[in-house]
Amino acid sequence: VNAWLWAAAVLTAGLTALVTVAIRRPLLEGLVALEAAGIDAVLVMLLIAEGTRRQPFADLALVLAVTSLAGTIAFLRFGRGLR
Amino acid sequence: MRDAVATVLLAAGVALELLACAGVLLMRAALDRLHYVGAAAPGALLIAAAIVVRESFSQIGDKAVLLAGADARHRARPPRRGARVTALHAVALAAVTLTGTATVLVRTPSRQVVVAGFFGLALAILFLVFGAPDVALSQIVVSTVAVPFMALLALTRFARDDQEDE
Repeated sequence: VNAWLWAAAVLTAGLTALVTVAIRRPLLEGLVALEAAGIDAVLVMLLIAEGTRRQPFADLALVLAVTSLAGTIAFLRFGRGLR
Repeated sequence: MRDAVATVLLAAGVALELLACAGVLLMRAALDRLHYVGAAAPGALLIAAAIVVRESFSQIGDKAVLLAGADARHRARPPRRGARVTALHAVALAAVTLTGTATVLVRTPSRQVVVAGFFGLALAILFLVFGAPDVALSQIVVSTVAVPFMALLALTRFARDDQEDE
C-alpha cells in the first residue's frame, strides 16, 4: 500500500463521517454534505487510479465529477415542498 | 525528488480536504457549511498538482487538472491476482456498511434519498477498490442521476395527490 492509497482510505473515512450531517441536520444541510462527499469521492477515485497505476480508472472520477451535480439539481427542481 | 514533492503536495491536499470535511461537519448552518465545500477545491488542486508532478502531463495528469479546475504513458500494470486485503479495502467496506445501515434507519423518504446518495458513492468506491470499474461506472450513473430523479418525482407526485385528496 503506497501513500496514494492511504490518502484514498483517509478521504473515504472523511466521506463516511459526512453522512452524520445528512442524518441529523435539516435536509438542506444534508444536501451540502452530499456535495462535499461528491468532491471527496471524485478525489478518492483519482487517488485509487494513481495508487494502483491503472490510469483508465481516472475516467470514473471524471464521470462522477460531471454527474454529481445532477442529484442536487433534482432536489432543487423537484424537492421544493419536501422536508 | 519528484516523489518527495508529490508526497508533500498529496499530504497538503488530503489535509485540506479533511479540513473541508470537518468544516462541513461542524458548522451550524447550511450556508456556513457550503463555505467549507468551497475549501475543498484548493485541496483538489493540490492533489491534482501532486499527480502532475509524479506523472507530468500524461493522460491521468490532464484528467486531474481537468477535475481540479473543473494522455497516458501506457504503463498500466495488469492487476495482481489474489491481492491482500488492505486498509483501503477495509475502509471502503466499513463505509458501505455504515452508509447502508444509515439509509435503512432513516425514516423520512426525502432524507433517505440524500443518505442513499452517500451510500451510492461508498458503493462506487468499493467496486473501484475491488477492481470492477465497469460496475462502479454504472453505480455512479444510477446513484447520482437515476435514483434521485425517480425518487423525487415519485415523492412530489405523492405529495400532490395527498393535497388533492384533502
